[in-house]
Amino acid sequence: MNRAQRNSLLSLISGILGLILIAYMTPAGLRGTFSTLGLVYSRIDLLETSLLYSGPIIASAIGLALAYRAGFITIGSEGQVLLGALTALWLTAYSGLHISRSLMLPLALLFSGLAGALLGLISGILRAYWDVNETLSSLMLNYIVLAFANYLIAGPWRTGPFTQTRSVPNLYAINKIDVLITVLFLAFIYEFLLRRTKLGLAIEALGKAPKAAYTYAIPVSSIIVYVSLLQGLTAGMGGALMIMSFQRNMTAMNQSPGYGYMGILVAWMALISPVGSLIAGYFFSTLIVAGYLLQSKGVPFNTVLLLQSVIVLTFIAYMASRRTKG
Amino acid sequence: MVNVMSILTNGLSNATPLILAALGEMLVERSGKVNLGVEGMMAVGAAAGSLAGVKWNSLAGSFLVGGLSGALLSLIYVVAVIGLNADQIVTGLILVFMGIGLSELIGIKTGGTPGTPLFPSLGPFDYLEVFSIVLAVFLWFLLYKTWTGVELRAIGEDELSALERGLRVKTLRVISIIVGGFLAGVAGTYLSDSFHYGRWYSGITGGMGWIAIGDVILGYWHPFGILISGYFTGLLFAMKPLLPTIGIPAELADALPYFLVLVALIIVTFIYKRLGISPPASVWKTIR
Repeated sequence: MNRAQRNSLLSLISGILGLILIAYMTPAGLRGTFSTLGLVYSRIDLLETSLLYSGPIIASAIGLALAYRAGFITIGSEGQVLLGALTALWLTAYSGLHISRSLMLPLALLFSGLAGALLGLISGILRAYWDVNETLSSLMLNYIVLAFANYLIAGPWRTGPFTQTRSVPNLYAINKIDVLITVLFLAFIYEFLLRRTKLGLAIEALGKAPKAAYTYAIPVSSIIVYVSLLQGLTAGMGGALMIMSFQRNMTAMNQSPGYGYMGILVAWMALISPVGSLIAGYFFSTLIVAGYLLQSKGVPFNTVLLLQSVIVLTFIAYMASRRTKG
Repeated sequence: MVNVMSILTNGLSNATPLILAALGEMLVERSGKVNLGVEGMMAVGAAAGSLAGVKWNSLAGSFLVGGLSGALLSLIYVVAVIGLNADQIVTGLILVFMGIGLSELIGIKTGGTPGTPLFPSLGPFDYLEVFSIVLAVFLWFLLYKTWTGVELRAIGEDELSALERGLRVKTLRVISIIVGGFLAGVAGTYLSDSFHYGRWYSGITGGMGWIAIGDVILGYWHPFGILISGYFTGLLFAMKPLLPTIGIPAELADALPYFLVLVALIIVTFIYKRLGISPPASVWKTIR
């Protein structure tokens, strides 16, 4: 066995051991955790529910895949999902707009997508023209959006005796088919964009060989700006998918919902490919459903994030060690 | 009226975790790597430190366990990035989520206990506030007045030449990363021990780790610079409760530190670019 084989085997084994250890540490215990996971995979209704949860995650991951390919390491998807959700909530519950159900989803996607894109654009412009680190700027924006959301929820949008907003009306609620169609559509558009357009070629070049891209007169700054727009677009749309399917209303938040962050993990799990994000994103949302089921056994929801990150890290380490020389 | 003195001292205690974590990250970046996982290591430190404090009712034990838990998490980074050559940015990001998840799993074990105010106060200053300043002076001495410091900075500037000259690239890097993890863990423990009576709660770090990374840039990768930038950002957190008194809703006031740090980052990056001064070269290559 050579070094690469040994290292990749070791990283797989330690990843699996890590997962077992985590399951053992949860209040549900080893058996409780794995039986819940088994339950999710054996029941068709839970598998269908997973589709709903996959909406915001896959949508974020699709845009992030594009951004990461260009070397634009944003983590703004979280704030963009939240802002997109706020936009869709405003459109469906507060704007007083009365249109048919079939028109509302595209309209909400458009508005939420634009909101997310504008948010992404801030980090993009800052990076492209002022060299401001996009990872940090997008993170700061996440917290600013969170504060803004909490302000709306506790202030102008508050309804009823509790700190919560109105709900998306039943008329405008979307189902798993709507979610599936939307993410499929987005994934294939973005895959096409990457593989078959000039912009896609420039993005690949920029990520793989920034210096060469610069030498061959690829307009680096404008590519970064386009990428930031396209990235925020899908994450914002993910926000609409979230609020119109399973979330429906908002309550005061201590931390962000986290679907945008999961999108980051999904994007890397999918080896930064838009179509790959469909599979990785669906897999991760089955874990979310398992996480919600486990909550009744006293397991904190963020354990899902832990399991997901161990899986991604194992995968990344496995891929990296296969490249080991010698 | 506003008590200026109390805000200034509050600023210092808010700045302490930021300064500690930022000094650790500075070491890592000076050695030529970027570990974006500070937020995660702080979260784990906050939970593990709080658990140890609750179980043993010991402040020293709390900080020791908190620091070690951060160091343990940074060990994952060492294995993946130094050992297996995985992408450092991806690994760092994953570390953040790993730490947040792990902190929750450890933190729920502290639930239900009556938090005891573990932290003794030294007049307006406490031990760690003093320690963070001493640490900055020590790191300055280490970096600029010792041979090891020269070696460390050389590694961060030009890895290949450092390798050719026979410098201890791997050893110093691994040590820096683990020390960085330990300091981030201690910083996290400080959050629960000092601000919340030894109690942990979900989402306790709230972006502090990321602000610490920002402080490294704002402080120009220099121990004293980080003291200044850390105190500046700490002051922002201390000023947050003032905003509702001038009519800004408390929910929006939460955004103030993040907003102003973002503005500061923009200004400072612009100045660095204008003056043509640049951070450790290999760091600059990876983030630009």
